[in-house]
Formats: sequence, C-alpha cells, structure tokens
Amino acid sequence: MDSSVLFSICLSIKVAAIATFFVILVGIGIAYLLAMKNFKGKVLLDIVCTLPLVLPPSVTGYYLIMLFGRNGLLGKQVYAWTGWSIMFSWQAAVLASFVVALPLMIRTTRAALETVDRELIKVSYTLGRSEIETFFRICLPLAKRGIYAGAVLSFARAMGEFGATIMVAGNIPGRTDTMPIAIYSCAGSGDWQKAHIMVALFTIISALFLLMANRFSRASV
Amino acid sequence: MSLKVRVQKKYSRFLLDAELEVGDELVVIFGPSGSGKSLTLHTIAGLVQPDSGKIIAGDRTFYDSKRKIFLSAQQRCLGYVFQSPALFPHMTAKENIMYGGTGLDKTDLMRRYLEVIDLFQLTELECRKPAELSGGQKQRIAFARALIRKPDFLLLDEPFSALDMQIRSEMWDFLRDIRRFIKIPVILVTHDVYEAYSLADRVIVYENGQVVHSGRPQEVFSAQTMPECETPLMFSYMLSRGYL
Repeated sequence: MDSSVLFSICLSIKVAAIATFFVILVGIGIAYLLAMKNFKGKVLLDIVCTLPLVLPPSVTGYYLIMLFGRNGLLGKQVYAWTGWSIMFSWQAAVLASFVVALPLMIRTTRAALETVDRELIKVSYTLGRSEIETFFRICLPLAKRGIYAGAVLSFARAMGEFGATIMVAGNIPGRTDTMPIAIYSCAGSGDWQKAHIMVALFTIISALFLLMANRFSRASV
Repeated sequence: MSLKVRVQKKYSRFLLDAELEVGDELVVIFGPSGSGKSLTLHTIAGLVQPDSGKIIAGDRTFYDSKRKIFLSAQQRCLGYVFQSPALFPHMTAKENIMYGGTGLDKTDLMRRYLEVIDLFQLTELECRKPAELSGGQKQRIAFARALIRKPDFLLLDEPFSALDMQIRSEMWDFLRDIRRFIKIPVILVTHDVYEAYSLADRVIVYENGQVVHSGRPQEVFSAQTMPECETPLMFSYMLSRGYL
C-alpha cells in the first residue's frame, strides 16, 4: 500500500481515537448535567452543545478559527505564553473532530441516562452513597450500552470529519491530511486509483462502526 | 432513640403540615392516596427539603429551617424501603445487599451480610439477579439491603402493596420477626387498614396533608373515631384469611 495512504489511515485513526477519548470524558459529564440536573442556563448549554450537529462544518471551523486561531480569543493567549499555535497541526484536526463529534455523544448518553430509574438513584442516596458513587456504580453501568453506542458513533463521526478540519488543520500532505482530506486531494488531482482504495477502505471501516453502534443500541433497548 | 418531625411543605394545590414523634416502635402512617404520607417519609429521609419545620433524630438535627440546617439523605443513616423493591438490576442479590453496607469495613460488612441473609432467609438467592426473583424475594432483599448497616431508623413506603395477599402476609411476619432483633423507630406508610391494624404499635391518620387522628390501632380504628373503617377492616381481614 502507498505510504501516503497508510499515513492518512493512521492519522485518521489517531485523530479519531484521541478526539473520542476526550468526547467520552466531556460528553458523559455534560450529558449527566443535562439529564439529571436543573440549573440556570441548561437550555443554553444544550443548544451550544448541539449546534455543531446542525451547523455546516465550515461554520464550526470558522468559530474554531475565531477561538483558537493565532489571533483568536484563546489562541492569542496561548501563542503569547507558549509561542505555539494549534492551527495547521494534527492537534487542530483532533479539536475539530472533538467539536463535531461531541453532540452525538451527549445526545446518546443523555438519552441513556434518562432511562435510568430515578428511584434507584434515591435508593442509593438513602443507603448513604454519594452522588459520585451513585453515578459510577448505578447510573453508568445501567446506561453503559447507550454510552458505548455514543462512543462508537462519535469515533465514526470523528473519522469522517472534513469541513471543520480542513479549515483549522488545512491540507498539508504528510502532516494533516486525514483520510477524508486525502480523498478530496486525490479526486482533485485526478489520482483516482489512490482515491478508490481510500474510499473503499473508508466505507468498510465506517460500515463496521455503524454495525457496532447498531448492536449496542439494540442491546440497550 | 426518638424521631421528632414537624414539617411544612407547600405545593401549588397541596400543603403538608404534619407533626409526629416516634420512639422505638412501629408507627403506621395511614391515609388515602395523595394525603402526604410518602412526602412525609421523603422529608424525613432528606430526599425532599421541607419549606419549614424541624426534624430531630436522637441528638442530631436533620433539618431546622430557622437554623438553616439540612442534612442530605447520605448524612442521615436511615433504612428506606420503597413500594417497588428497586433492586439494582445489574447486581446480584448479594451485591445489592452489600451495596447497602456504606461505611462498614470488610470484616463487619461480611459479618453483617451473613446476619441479614440468615434473618431474611436469602442464602439460596445470593447469586441471582433481580430478574430471576419473585416479588416477595425481591422485597426481602430490599429489606436486607436497607438494614445491613444498622440504620438509626427504618422508613417503609408501602413496601407490601405490590405483593399478593399470601406473600404480603409472610412479609408481615418477617417484619414482626425483624422487630424482635432491631429496636429502632420504624415508620410504615400504608393505606391498607388491616395492615395498619395488625402491625402498628401506634397509628397516625393523615388527611389532606394533616394528622387527623393518632393513637393505638384499637382506638384509632374504633367505630367512634373512624366509622368508615369498620367494614373495610372486616373485608381486609377476610381477604387475608382467604375467606373471599
């Protein structure tokens, strides 16, 4: 296999895996807040976390540039302290994948947590167990199938991320060209053979992930 | 130990305004659905914060609106058995019971576990998941789980109402047996006249969120105090004995 194809596959898997790791951590936390708590700004948090699902990826990418670009709100500070900017690096691809995959994780996990019987949570409290302990020993195990499904869907979405990634990470061969970006480049430059291989591989990988997500979803019903 | 409760809690169309005192006895809170019985237990357990009042257990203040004290359910050391057994479906019977042993070290937890499974005759069921158990077995496990850490008091929120009459009768016997081993305040909420009559040391009758009668069962359910109870009591008794 062409080394550039192999690089793109490895980069896509690396980016998706790291993004999914953070998506799981942050997504479960936000989903728990949205499913179990009532607080001021809950609707706003819900909307902000869901927006990347409905916005065009280019708009999400634009916001990321405004936030993390060298002259962005946060990026400026980071650059002033460290002399490093996340833009046009593989870490930027992770950031873009994280942002677009997060809503999927939150929605799936929230739905799963909302199915946990509230009486079980009350029982746990009356048995002297703290909220954190109740979360880890009761809520998480009972919602685990939904959480697995969310994680698999997030991974698949992160693997396929293109629009926001190309805006913040660019298309730098050997550095930031994840599979979707590499396919776009090959199609643009007429390298159809390479494009065919990557498209086929990508379709197979995505189908496998959807199959896994379906299995988890079915088992959780 | 004694439990002194004086709570008010207002909802849009309902006001709970109750005062009760419970010693090492079994007090039944009796009344129709929606009269505030379960809400009273929820406030005692710390699952609902009253609007005002005071809840004192022994020398500990659980709640005092004036002093702005409110201890959470976790800080109150209580046993609570709900109407449904509410066993954790992903845990075996043993794991469910052990989960109740908050604060016990390993040796004490094992010792207490062996005591409660013996008391509730659960030895054969240790490895079963809730889905493999009958209603009565599940409720016995719920009792064992609530009692494993020796709570300061026990709150029973219609725990027998979902059981059929024969199992219910067995559970009443269990409750009488348990009370020989544990001397703590027990509050049982029910709307079953016969259950109240046969188990209570004292009955508190609720109506529209307020205590309307209180006393020994024979006094409370007498024709003078509650003439409407005579016939239901007779029917309940006959049902329990299988005459109907």
